[in-house]
Amino acid sequence: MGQTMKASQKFKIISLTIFLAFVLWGGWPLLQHRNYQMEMVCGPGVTEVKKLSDFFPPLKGTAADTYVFILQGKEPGGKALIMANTHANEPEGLLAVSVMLENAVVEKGTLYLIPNFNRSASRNTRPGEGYPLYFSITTPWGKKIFRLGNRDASPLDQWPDPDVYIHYPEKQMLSYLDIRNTNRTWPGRRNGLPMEQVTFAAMELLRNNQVDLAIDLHGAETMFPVTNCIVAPEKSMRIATLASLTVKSMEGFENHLEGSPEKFRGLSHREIGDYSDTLPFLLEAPIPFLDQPTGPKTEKLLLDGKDEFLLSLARKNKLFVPYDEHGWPFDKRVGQHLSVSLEIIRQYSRKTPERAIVIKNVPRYREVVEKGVGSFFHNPAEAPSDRVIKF
Amino acid sequence: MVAKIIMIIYYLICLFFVFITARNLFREENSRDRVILYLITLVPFILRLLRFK
Repeated sequence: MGQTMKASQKFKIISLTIFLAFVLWGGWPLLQHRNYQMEMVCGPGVTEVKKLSDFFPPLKGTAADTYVFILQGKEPGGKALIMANTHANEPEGLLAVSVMLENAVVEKGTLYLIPNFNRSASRNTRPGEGYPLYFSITTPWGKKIFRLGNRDASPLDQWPDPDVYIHYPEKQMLSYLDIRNTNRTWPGRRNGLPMEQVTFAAMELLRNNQVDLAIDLHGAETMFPVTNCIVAPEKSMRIATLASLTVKSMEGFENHLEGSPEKFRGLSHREIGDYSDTLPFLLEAPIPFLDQPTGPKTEKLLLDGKDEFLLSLARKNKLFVPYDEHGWPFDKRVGQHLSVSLEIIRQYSRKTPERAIVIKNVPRYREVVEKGVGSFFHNPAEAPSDRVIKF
Repeated sequence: MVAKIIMIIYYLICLFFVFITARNLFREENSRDRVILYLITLVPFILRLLRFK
């Protein structure tokens, strides 16, 4: 009996040790990823660095609080907000906004930039689908590393999920997961869950500062019809149409229009327009990495967008975007976001000169494709420490 | 505030499951299969309590 017990104890100790080793082996990289700090160099145009909690104090000190960069022009004019990483697994927006904040100079009006809108989601991941935890962009001074996040906020920051998410204030029933999706929680709720407070804080920013334009940068699957497009409600459609036609004729890439559905609630392109005077736009760039029938979800696939299975589907006309052996590289996706954002702002400025916003030094599509997005990032090691922001 | 209290309660539930599973694990004398089963059951609770995932 004593020998049996001894053997049983021995087995337990060995199993427990192996178990703890597995937990640490699997868990430690996730913890490191959660705490990894991305670095951005504030460009010459950044006049003020705030946080979302400055617009809605209850967010202060929470995992949901995030940086808001303000680029104020010398001349008064209109105001625009550009936000990225609403879905942190669609990082072309993050790169586009980062290029802006490191390079843009605003001559007239004000530009608000939020590169990491759902900060909690950027510290989350999707290991079940084999997502890489990081990706890197080649720059003239080395590799710049970014966290790759998830679509939804981390359950570590907002938990548990309800059985059914009832949208506020429209009361539409949505998937339980969407309570952590900051593109389903607009226009937010003052005393709601953290992600509802994030969108509420952004609404406060828009309403209290009379922001004219809000542009939300995303990526979407090539097999999803709402991809490679500008999504806009009725009130923004004229500007969106002009921007779409201009980039097609002047820069040679397609970016079609999609109307914002009135009965699908919680999305930025719907609620911002309905609950403020701001004109909202949501830009979708094709991101093959998100498609389901691809090979492994590698960093390479994220960067170059090349996949043999998608190529095969493209030959059978199953995709909603042109697709060939060149894939959909990051440079193209970031370039499109930059050009379309700039074009929306330009068209709005032409239509309402008294509220014009004039932005310089931001590369457009062709320049990004030619030089590579990495060539527009500055080395944090060489920048003054007070201009380097970690997030 | 209510959401925060619910979150804390869920962490306490998590802690409770870790406690009873670990207690069963240490009391188990005969079945190696059950020892492994208890350890596998513990994984998500431990990861959540340590705030790894």
